[in-house]
Amino acid sequence: MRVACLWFDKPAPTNVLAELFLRFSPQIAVIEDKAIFVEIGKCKNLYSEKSFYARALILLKRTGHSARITFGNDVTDSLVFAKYKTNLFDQIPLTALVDLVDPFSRDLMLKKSVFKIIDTFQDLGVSNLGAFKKLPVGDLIARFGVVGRFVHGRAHLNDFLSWPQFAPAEIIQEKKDFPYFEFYGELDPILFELKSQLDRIFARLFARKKRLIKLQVQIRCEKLSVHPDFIRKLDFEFFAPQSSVKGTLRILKERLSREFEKKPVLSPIEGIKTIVLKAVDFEGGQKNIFNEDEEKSEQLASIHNQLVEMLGKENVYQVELTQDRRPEKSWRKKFDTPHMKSAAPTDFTDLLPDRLTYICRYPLKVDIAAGFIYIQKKRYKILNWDNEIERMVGGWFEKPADEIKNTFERIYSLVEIEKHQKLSIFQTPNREFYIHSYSG
Amino acid sequence: MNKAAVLSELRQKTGSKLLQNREMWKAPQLESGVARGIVTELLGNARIDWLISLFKINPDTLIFWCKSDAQASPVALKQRGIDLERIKFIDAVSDLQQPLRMALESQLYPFIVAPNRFDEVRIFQRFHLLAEKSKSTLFLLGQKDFSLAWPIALQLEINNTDVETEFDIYIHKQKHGVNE
Repeated sequence: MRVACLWFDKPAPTNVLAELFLRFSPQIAVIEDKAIFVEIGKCKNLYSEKSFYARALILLKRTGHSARITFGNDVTDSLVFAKYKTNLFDQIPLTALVDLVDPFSRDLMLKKSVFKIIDTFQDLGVSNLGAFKKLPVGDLIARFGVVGRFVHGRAHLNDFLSWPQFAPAEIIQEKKDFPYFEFYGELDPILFELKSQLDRIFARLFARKKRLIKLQVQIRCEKLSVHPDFIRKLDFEFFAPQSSVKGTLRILKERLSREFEKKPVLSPIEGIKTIVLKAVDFEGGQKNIFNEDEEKSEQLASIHNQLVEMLGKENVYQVELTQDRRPEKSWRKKFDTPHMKSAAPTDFTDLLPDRLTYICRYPLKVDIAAGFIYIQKKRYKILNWDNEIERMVGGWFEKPADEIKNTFERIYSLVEIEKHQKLSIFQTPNREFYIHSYSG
Repeated sequence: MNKAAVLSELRQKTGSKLLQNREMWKAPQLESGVARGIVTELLGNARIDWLISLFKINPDTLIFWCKSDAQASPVALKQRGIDLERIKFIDAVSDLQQPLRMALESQLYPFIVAPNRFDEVRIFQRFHLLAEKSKSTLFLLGQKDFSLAWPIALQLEINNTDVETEFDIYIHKQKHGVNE
């Protein structure tokens, strides 16, 4: 067994930080606010102690914490190496016996007995572990009984200690309060804080092999009678699972800028909280170095999200064909899965006459007379008129109760006017002509 | 030679020099092709047909299509051999700048199509810089006349001809891709 110990001189949120180390090993233990232990022996083929050290330092730097990192064959020796800043076991002070016997502070009675042993031997001039190890076990048993036997075993690193279970927090959330720093609706300080929160959230998600799909940002303002919306809750649901801060932050920025425009912040902001509402599993492992499809699809989803935030869902879409022959109904909008292949639709477009490139929003009524077409009171010469290239009759089945209202009967012609402009014109049963599509 | 002609000649020469290492898209009936990373303005009644042919001969590229009033017919696109999954449509009724800027910055859409609703040169200049960086080509669909903005590198008027499959292309301005 090889154990890495991260010892924090200043109290640190070890439970949160330990989550980040799940990427190295699932076997983790924590001493509240003080130390994190990671079993790295079983993964020696994946990374060396040196690379673990380097990566751990970077992870800690990102979170703004610093720790001393040491390696040992057990929790206890790695702990005492870190705590007493030495790798020479025998020269470690005798007070380290407490850490060797009960590093996780699970048995207070035992701890009390060990302190007694330490006091006794310090009085006798035994000041370090090296000297203590030389004492015969029989003498210790005679003087201190079963505790003496156990302490002797631990000093020789003989017995195995069970690791307390480490369970990461069920809800991933990050928050920050601003008790003194008062600011109103400025976007930049909020984004600055959100970025650091997202950094931590994505690191925690990555360690759990998860990706973000739903997020809530809560902005809490000072409670004032004139400010009814003092708590803003913004829910974000992403089209594709997110794994990077950059794309996610852009989406958040779009929404926040719109939100503050619509409902200005009228009192100082007191705190920002980010909560992961839903995350999905992803297959971890090394990135595919031969293509970047995965990153690209995530970027596409991210820009889709940003556009939706900016323009509204109904204005950002792709299209798919329907089986309706009417030009205006022969397609429908598709709002999700940007640029993803959908199930192969039946391709019937070969059966239709060639459509012109633009469809008018509403059919435009025109007049035809003596070889000329009158469009919005302007006269154009007709060069060619292909009569009845398509006839469409139907609609009666859609709303049978409404009978005539919803029926249609159109006779389409392809018309070429001056400058070879092509128009698709349909004629109704009462001999009215409408332009429905055109090239251009 | 008057001042305008001298200026035009100089500009053309500068364009020819700039062109030498520039990547080009193959374009139908335009031998020089269309440069990547430029702003292009199109006029004429066959510009969309020409554009669709360009998209067809440059497959596997995504298209960002901002539309204003009329809708490009998806059936027409499909009939002309364009995979509809390639195109993202945007209904931008008011401000087009932001979505266009976003699409250019993302560097994910090699082809961007939008109506030309801009007057200020600095807007074109911004598009030009972003397009150059992302190597995307921005096709602006002009209204009646060509814009005078200098950042537009290519201006084409494309009309139908008597022959169904051919285009009548008039090059109004071309900074890149001139055959020497």
